[in-house]
Order: sequence, then C-alpha cells, then structure tokens
Amino acid sequence: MFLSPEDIEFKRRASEWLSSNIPVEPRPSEGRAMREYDLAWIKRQWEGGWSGIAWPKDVGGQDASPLRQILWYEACAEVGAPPVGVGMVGLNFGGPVIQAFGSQQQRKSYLPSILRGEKVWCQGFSEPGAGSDLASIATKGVLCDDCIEVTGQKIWTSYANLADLQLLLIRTDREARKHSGLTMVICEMGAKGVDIRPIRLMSGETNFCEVFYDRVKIPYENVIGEVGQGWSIAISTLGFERGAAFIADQIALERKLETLVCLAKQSAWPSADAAIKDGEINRQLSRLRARISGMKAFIYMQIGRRDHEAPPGPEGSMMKLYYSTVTQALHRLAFELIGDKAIAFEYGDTGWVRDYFYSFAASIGGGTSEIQREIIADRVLRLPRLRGA
Amino acid sequence: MYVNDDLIQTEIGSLAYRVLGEVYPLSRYREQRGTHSDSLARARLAELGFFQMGVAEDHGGAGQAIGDQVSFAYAIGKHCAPIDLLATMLASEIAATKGDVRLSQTLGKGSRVGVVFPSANALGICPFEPGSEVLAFAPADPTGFVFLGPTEELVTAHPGIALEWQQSLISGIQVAVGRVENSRAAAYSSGQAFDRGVLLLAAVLTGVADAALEMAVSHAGRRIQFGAPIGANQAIRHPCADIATQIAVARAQVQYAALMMESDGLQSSRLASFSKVLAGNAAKASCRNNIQVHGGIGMTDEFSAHVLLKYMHVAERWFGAETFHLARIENC
Repeated sequence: MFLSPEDIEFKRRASEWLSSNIPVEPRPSEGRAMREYDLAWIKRQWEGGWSGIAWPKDVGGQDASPLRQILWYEACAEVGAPPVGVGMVGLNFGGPVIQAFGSQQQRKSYLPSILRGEKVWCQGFSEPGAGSDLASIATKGVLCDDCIEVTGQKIWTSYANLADLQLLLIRTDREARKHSGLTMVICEMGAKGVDIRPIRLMSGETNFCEVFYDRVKIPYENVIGEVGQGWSIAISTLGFERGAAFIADQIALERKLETLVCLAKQSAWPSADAAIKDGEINRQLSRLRARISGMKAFIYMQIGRRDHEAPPGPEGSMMKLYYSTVTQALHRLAFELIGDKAIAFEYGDTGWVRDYFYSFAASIGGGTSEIQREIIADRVLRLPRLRGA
Repeated sequence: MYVNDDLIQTEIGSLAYRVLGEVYPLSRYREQRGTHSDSLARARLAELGFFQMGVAEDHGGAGQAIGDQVSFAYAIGKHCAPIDLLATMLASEIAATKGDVRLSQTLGKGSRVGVVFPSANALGICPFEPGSEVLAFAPADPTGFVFLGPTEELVTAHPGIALEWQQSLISGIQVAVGRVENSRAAAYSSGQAFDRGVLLLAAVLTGVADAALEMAVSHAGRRIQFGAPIGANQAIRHPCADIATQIAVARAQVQYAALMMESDGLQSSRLASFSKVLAGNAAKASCRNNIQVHGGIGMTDEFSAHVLLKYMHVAERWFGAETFHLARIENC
C-alpha cells in the first residue's frame, strides 16, 4: 500500500472510533428532526477530535493532509456512517471559501461553529433566470451607507428551510459588465425580509427551496472579499463544490455497489434463478466495479497533487461528470433489478427507488454535466468557442 | 497530451516518448514496405536498456519499477509503436526471474518475441492444458514466444502449437488462433507476469486514446465550417470532453494499479482487469470519435485516423479483451 504507516494507523484509529460512535438510530429524512440529527453527529465528531481534518489549526481544524480527509471518508463509508447532510455547504464549500477569501473576523466568527455542528449553511446562487448562466443573476444589492439592501429571488437552495446562514451572490453594480458587479455576502436566514418556500422533489423530500429577499439589510462586515469580487469567489466555491464536496459520496459509492450486488443475488430474473447469474447483469456489475475503482484512483491521484487551500481545477469537473454517469448507471440498474415492486413508491419512502429518483440530481446540481463538459473543453482541451459565447 | 502529461514527465517516460517518436514515426505506416528499419529501432531501444527495465540489477537489468514500464507502454501506445516491444521486455524479465540470465540478456538486445495467451473462451480453465484455445500475436520472424496466462508463464523458442498465422489489422503484427496440443510441462507456475502484461496493455490503450483525442481536437480547432472552427460546436466539444474524462480516469486507474502492484501486490488481477476495461473503453471511444470528427478524411487510407483505430483494436485483444476481463472481475 502506498499509505505511510502513520496514515494506516490514522485510518485504524478512525475506524475504531467510528464503530463505537456512529449513531444507531435511523436518520430522519427531512425537517428539524434531520437538522438536529445531522448537527448532533457533526458535534460528536468534533468532540471526538475528528472534525476539520484538512482545515487550518487556527479555526479549530487539524491541518492534516487531504489524504487523511479521504481516509476518514473511507472509514465512514465502511461502517455506514450517516452522510454529511445539512452540514454539506458549511463543511464542504462555504467553510473552504471563507478560509480562502474571508477576513480574520469572518474566519473567527463562522468557521469554528461549522466544525462544532452549531450552524447550518446554505448557498444562494441560482435564480429563476440564472441557472447554468450564473453570471446573469439579478438579485440586487443596493449599497447604502451602513449596509447592503438586498431584493430579489434565489432558487434550488438546498436546506434553506433549515439553515442559519447563507453564502449569497448578489449584483451590486448594474452598470458594470456581466461578470463584474457581483458581490458575495453572508446572509442571516432569520433576517427581516427573508422568506423561504420549500419545493418538493420527485424523490419526496422538501429540503430544496425558493428564497425571496425583500430589502434585507446585510452589514458590510458580511461581505466576503471585496464588493465586486463576487464572480471569482463564486467560481472558487463551485470549484470546491465540484472538486471536493462530493468526495464522500464518491467514496461511499463503492459500498453502495456491494449493496447492489446483494440485491442482484436476491432478485428474481427471467431465465436465471437470480439476476446475478445473468451474464449481462453480471457484466454491468463488473463494469460499474471498474468505473468505481477508476473514480477512486482518480481521487487519490488528484489528492496527491492538490494544494491545500487552492480551489480544485478542471479535474473537479471531470470528477463530477464521471461520478454523475456512474451513480446514475448504478441506480438505473438497481431500479431494473427491483422490477415490478419499484412501482410501489410513496413520498417518504427511503431506499433504492427514492435514491434512483434523487440520482438525477447528480448531473444537474453544482453545475450541469453540460456545463462541466464546456469547462473541460475550454480549460483542458482548449477548444475554440463560438464568437460571443 | 493533455491528460497524461505526467506519464511523459518522468525521466524514463520522456526518454521513451522522445526515442519512440524518432524510431517509430506514425508516418511509417504509409511508407513503402522495407523503408523503415525495425532492427535499427530495436537496437536503439536495447542500447538504452528498455527491454531489460524490469530485470533485477544483479541480473544485468535496470531493476526499474512497474511505474516506469507503464510510462514506456504509454509512450508505445501514443506513437502506435509495435506492441510486441512489451513482449520482449516481459520475456527478458521472466527468463531472468527463472534463472536463465543468458537468455534474458539475449532477449534484452531486442529480439522479436511473440505472445501466446488464453483466448476469452478458455477463461477459468488451466490456460495451457491440452485442448485449450489460445490466441497468439507475433511480429514478423519471431525468434521466440512468451506464454502468459493467469496462472502460468513460459519463455520458449518455439510455440509448440500449430498456429496458422494471418496478417493482423496492423502491419508487422500477425495473429493466430490455436489449440494447445500437448501439456507444456516446462511452464512456470506463478502467472504474475500476466497481470503486469494486462496493466501494460492498458497503458498502451491510454496512449492511443490520448493520441486520437489530440488528433481530433487539433482538427476541430482548424477545420472551418459555417464560418467557425467545428470545435466551437458543442456537438464536437462535449464528446471530446467525455472522452478526456474517460481517459483521465483510466490513466488514474493504471497508475493506482501500478502503485499497488509495486507495494503489496494484493488484488493485482482485479486492479489490472479494471485498468484494461477502463482503458479499452476510453480508447475505443476516442479512436471512433477521431474518425467522426475528421469526417470524410477520417475514412481514408491515406490519413492515419484509421491506423489508430486498427492499432487500438489489436491492442485491445492482447491479454484478453473486455468480455474476458469483465468475466474475470468476480461479483459473487
């Protein structure tokens, strides 16, 4: 193994701690109960000394290598630990962005509380008129003497209904060119003028929201970086989101495949006593196994090269694009294996059918696969662009 | 070169990439027979020690790690250089491991070596038992053969099998299907070289996949239709981006497998099979896409897009094609 003896020892200790500390009660699928469950789990990791593995020491992190972070995710996947859940934005991209661009005061005020499981973050980027074309956002921030006054609408904001704080991208200069004139601020979700409306997903949950802002006052100390620097900060945030935020899910996919193999052993199949005995099903499983192995290898190889603080480059887009095709293929196969019973599904159900519906998110959220391909075509292949695009 | 840059940035990798480009230029596929000298090319590679890379230092080799062999294999694929250069390298290494240092050194001078391995249909049975079906590839006038199977390996002067050779898709390589007639008592039983062979062929495939992508992207950037380069259209950009991603993942898998083989050797067969499946799929997609991007030109004999496709198909069959490896990856 290419891990050092210290890394191996770290993983052993992690597995040992996890096996006696992961919550035994099932995770609620939404609402305040889910928030409390997820925060309690984050808090327990903090108390156990396992939080912020690759975060700097001054904000409560451990300043260890990104490889250690991966080993932690692996250990979590192996014991079936709960997902990061409502901690997603804070731990995986909000936190890293504040580390990269935030003021000393912001680092002190916001980062430790993320690690301690005290605050939930969400991310206000997309708008009804600005999805893939993020730079056309219109939510306006009027620069007043003592604050920025925000009016407008965001959409597809995961966990807005459960969040305390939001990374919010607004337009503060309407005269400037499209990519200039944007500013990134921290918005208190409880502030006057913020109105949150949940949207139900086809998989049943309602953690996805629309957020309306009616002259919401945001103090200048909540600006991340400078006024007008929002676009480059948003791009970094998306870099973290694509490059790092889903690593835990990617690692967990290996375990999910094992569950799928069990399903294939139990599923009845025409012309075979179990689906797994069918040559085509068996080949599909082998192909998934190879692709998941490749994905993990890709993560390892990137981690070796990646600079701690710098946002991931276009490799993050490659990883996200690949992950989305693999996870969707895996869930499609599961749906087929379940057969007739898959049709009996109600909102609130958990398991493969719910996960199949949710797997459509993989190629849409965090930038669609089409956008990832554009990034790869531009930044890796350096293909020409159409004039004006 | 976008995706696998780091494979040619190592000392061995960049040397292999440069020298192979000089001694096996792609243009040789278009030249008159006999203009290109394979013997001179091999002599140059032998002089630099490529065929004895994996032979231990006390046997006169360079004792280099699998990672360096992977870089060499990648460069072979990138230039569509003869795949059997790897057969020579593996044969030299096996001979040394089995104590035949003289044979190892003779092979290290660049002898032309053919390979014999179980066909996909012979998976699961002892590969070189009488009656089992084998597939063989050989350069012109091979001086010997290396038998590689999941459990056995052997270096021998004669195949000992009735093989009817046919010209393969790639000039200079013949192919034959045959059956083992009598038990090969002299076979060595370890089979470790087979997984290495599989991994090296996966590296060859990432090389040819990269070459095809580079060719497609370069054409797409120059070919003007409707007043703009065709590479500005998403119908061209997106498949290329998908292929670049597939290649990057296959490359990572190959490197990861090499690292694992070098250290504990656990799971070698599985990791090698994963590599071959991913690299094979990436190479197929890339070589096919390259022809499509070139349009009519891509269909012609005089342009080399078809050479890459055919070379890829030959490489994909070496040491087991996709079906063989998918069956070898056990799910139960």
